[in-house]
Amino acid sequence: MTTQVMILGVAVMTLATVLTRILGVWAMRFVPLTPRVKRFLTGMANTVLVALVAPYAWEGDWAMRLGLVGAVAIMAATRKTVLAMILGVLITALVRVLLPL
Amino acid sequence: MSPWLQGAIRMGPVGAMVIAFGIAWGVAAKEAGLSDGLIYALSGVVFAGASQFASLELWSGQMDYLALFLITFAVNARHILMGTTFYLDIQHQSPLRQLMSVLVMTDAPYAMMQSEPDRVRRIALIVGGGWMIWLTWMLGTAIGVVFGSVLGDTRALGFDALMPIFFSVMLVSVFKGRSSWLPFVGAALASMLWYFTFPGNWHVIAGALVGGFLNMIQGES
Repeated sequence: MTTQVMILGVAVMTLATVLTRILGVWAMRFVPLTPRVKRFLTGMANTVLVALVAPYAWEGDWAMRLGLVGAVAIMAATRKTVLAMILGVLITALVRVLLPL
Repeated sequence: MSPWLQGAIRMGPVGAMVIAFGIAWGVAAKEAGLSDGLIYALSGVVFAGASQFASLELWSGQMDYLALFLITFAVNARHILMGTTFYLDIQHQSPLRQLMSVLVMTDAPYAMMQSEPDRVRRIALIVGGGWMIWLTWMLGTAIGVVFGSVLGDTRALGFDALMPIFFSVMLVSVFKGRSSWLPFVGAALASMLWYFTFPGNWHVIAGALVGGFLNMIQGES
């Protein structure tokens, strides 16, 4: 990857992020966002996470799948984000070491 | 003590957690093969953790700038909603001050702001607290980068699972019970269908658009 690609990539991501930070305040100056638009944005912001995880769950090895399931279960039970992440990675590592599937 | 400093101090305990996330980001980004400079630039300038994780897939091979833009926008779209609420607090300030406030708007100070009735303190939480988050995010990133460099090959340690695990944990926290099923399952199906049909990373965008659309029409019945 060239330096040029990196700088341009960071610029593109910065532009997109700054837009999301400004757009809500900027739009409200003119017209409040309708409930429909809000529902679309909420749905998009939440389900993009599903779309990011899905290929890993499908194509990852069993260690990764078990790590994912474990992290979700621990998060659902405890609501402790960092704990769920650490234990999820630990499960993946342990499965790889102990039972090479 | 200035209200901004107070806002920063109130975010201190959360900052400890942000350091942990920063370490995770630094390690995951090293594992994905990003250069140190790029990892720091993303944390310092983009300053939006979830989208930084989401971009890890895109930095290898031919760069698809449009996909990078749209995925970043979709992952950070929650900022738009936060901004519509925060607007009520800053509407009488100059456009420049409004801009300076929203540029450091992040999730944790926003969440804490919900239980703060005083307007000055609310703004101080977003701005002062936002800078506290920035500092701790950079600190965590630096620790993660060093940690990742020392560890070398981290796949055996399960760190390649860090990025999907991060997203699946976030997924649990935004899952709202029954009303979430239709958009979530729809997004999963749409993204996988796209994933197996087309090359590139547009399956993320396809899933997010279908999920957003389903969530929109679901609320209308």
